[in-house]
Amino acid sequence: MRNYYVALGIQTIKEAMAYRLNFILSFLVVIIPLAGQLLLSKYIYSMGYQIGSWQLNQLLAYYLIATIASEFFSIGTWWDIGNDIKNGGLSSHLVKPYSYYWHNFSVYYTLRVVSISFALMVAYIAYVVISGSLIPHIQANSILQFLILALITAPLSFLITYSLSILAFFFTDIGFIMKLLGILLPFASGNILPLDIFPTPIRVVLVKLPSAYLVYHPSCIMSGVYNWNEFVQLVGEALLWLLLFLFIVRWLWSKGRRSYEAIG
Amino acid sequence: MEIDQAIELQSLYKNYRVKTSVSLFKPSFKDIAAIRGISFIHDTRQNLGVFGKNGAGKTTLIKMLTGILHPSSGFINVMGYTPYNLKPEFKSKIALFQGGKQNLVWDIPAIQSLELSRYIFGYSKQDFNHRLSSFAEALDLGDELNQPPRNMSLGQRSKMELIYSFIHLPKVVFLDEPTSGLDIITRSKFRDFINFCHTEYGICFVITSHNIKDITDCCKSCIVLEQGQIIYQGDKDFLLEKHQHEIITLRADSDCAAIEISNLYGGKVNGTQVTIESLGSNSNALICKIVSQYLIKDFKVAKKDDEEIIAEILNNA
Repeated sequence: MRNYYVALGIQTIKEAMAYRLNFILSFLVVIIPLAGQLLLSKYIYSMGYQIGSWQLNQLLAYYLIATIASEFFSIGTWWDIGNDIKNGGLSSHLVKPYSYYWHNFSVYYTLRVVSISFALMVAYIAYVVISGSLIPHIQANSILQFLILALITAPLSFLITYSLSILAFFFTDIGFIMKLLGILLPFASGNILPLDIFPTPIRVVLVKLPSAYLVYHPSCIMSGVYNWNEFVQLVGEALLWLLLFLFIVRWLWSKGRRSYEAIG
Repeated sequence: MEIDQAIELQSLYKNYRVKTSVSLFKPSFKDIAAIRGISFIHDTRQNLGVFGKNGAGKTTLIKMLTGILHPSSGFINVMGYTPYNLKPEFKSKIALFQGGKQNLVWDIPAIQSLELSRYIFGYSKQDFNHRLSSFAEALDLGDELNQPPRNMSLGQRSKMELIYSFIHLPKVVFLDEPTSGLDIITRSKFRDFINFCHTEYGICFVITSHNIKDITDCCKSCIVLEQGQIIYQGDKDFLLEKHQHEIITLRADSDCAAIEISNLYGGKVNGTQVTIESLGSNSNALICKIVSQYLIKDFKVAKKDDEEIIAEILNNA
C-alpha cells in the first residue's frame, strides 16, 4: 500500500501542475506579507527602537523561517475532507482498501512540498534583498534542532487539520472554524510577532498551545534562541500534543463514522 | 451455498435522524426508517437487481452492503465479512459504482488515474494493461483514455469511472443507478459490458436502477423494495411472467356483440372495439373461445413491456 501513497503523491504533483496560475499567486501570498514584516522591522530598528530582546538580524531570520514554517505546518479545516464528508464523497474512499487518513496525508504534504519549494525561493530572494545578507543568521545546531522538531510538527499539524476537518461529521458547515482560525492563528502561532513580546499572562498560555509548536518554536530554534535542555523539553511537550491529537482524531473518526449519512 | 459466496441479511433496520426544526438552542429531530427489517440470502454467482421507487431504500441498502453505513440493527454478512468493519480484505473483494459520481482526477489524462488502481489493489502492470485493453474494447474506448475527464462527454466519463471502479476484478460490484443520465446507446453498451464482465470474469453485480432494462437484461434474480421492506424476492422472469398482462384488442361485427363480449369476458367497449386485459399468457385460449362464439372482424394481442409491469407492481405495492 505504501506504493499507492507514493503514486498518489506523484499524481498530486501532476494535478498541481495543471493549475500553474496557483503557483504564481502563491508567490504573492508569501512574498507580500513577508516583505511587509521585513521592511517594517528594518524601519523600527533604524529609528533606534527594538522589538523585545530580538536583534535585527535574528528578527529578520525569525520572520523568514516563520513564513516558511507557517506555509508548511499550517493548520485549518481542509476543504477536501470537509466536502467529502458533507457531500458523500467519503463513500468512494471508504470502499477502497487504503487508509483515508494516509491518503489525505500524502496529498496534503505533497501539495505543501510543491508549494513550499517555490515559496522558499521567493522568500529567500525577498530576505536577501531586504536584509542585505546572503546567509540568514542561522547556526548548524539550530538546523539540526529544527529538523528534529519538524519530524513531530509535520504530523502534528496534519493531525490538527484532520481533526478540525472531520468535525464535518457533526456540523453542517465547518467554514466558521476556518474563519476563526484565520483571525486567531497568525497571532497565536507567532507568525505576526514573536510570542515572547506579549504580556506575561498571554505569553505563558500562547507558547504552550499547539499552534506555537508549528511556527513560533521552530522559528526561535532557527534564530538560535534555545539551548539543548530547553529544546529537549520542547520536543517532549510537542510529543504530548501529538499523542493527544492522535487520540482526538481516533475518537472523532470512530464517532463520526457511525453518524456518517453518505448523502447522495 | 458457501458463506464466502453469499450475501445474507437478517432483520436489518436502518434509521436516519432528521432535523425537523431549526433552533439555536434546541432543534428537534425525528427518526425516519429507511430500511425496515429486511432479510434475504443471495448467491453471488448470480447477479441481483433491486427494484424500487425513489425513497424505497435501494441506495441505503447498497451503502450498508458496502459497509459505508452502519445498520441500526440486524445482521449483515457479505461473503463472510461484516461490511461496516471495513476490513481491507473485504474492500479488495468489492467495488462500488455510483452513476454521476466523479472519482477520477478532472485535469489529468484518465489513464493516469486508472493506473492508481494498480497501486491500491496491488496487481501487475501487465495485468493492468491486459484488463484495460479488454475493458476499453468492450466499451468502445480508444484515444479518450489519454484525455482528461474534463474534456470528455458524460458517456465517456461514465465509462472511465466504470472501468476505474472494478478494473481490479472484485468478486462483487455494486452498481447504484449506473446508467443515470446516459443516452440509449451508452446504456445498452453498459449493459453489454456488465454481462461481458459477469461471463468473462465471474463478477457478481448488484444493481439498482430506474432504467428497468439495466436489471432485466443483466440479472436473473431480483428483489423489489417498497418503503424499506422487501415485497418480492426471487426469479426475475417469474416476477415478470406472474404480472404479465396481454391486451387483446378485437373488433366485433356489431355494437351489441361488442357489449356482450365485454360483459362476458370483462373489458372496455368503444363502438365495435373491445379491449380485454388477460392475466398471464392465456390470450390464445381466450381468443379461440370468443371467435367460436362471435363473428370477429379483426384482433391483435399486445404484451406489456417489462417497464410497464414493474411500474404497475410498484404502483400497486
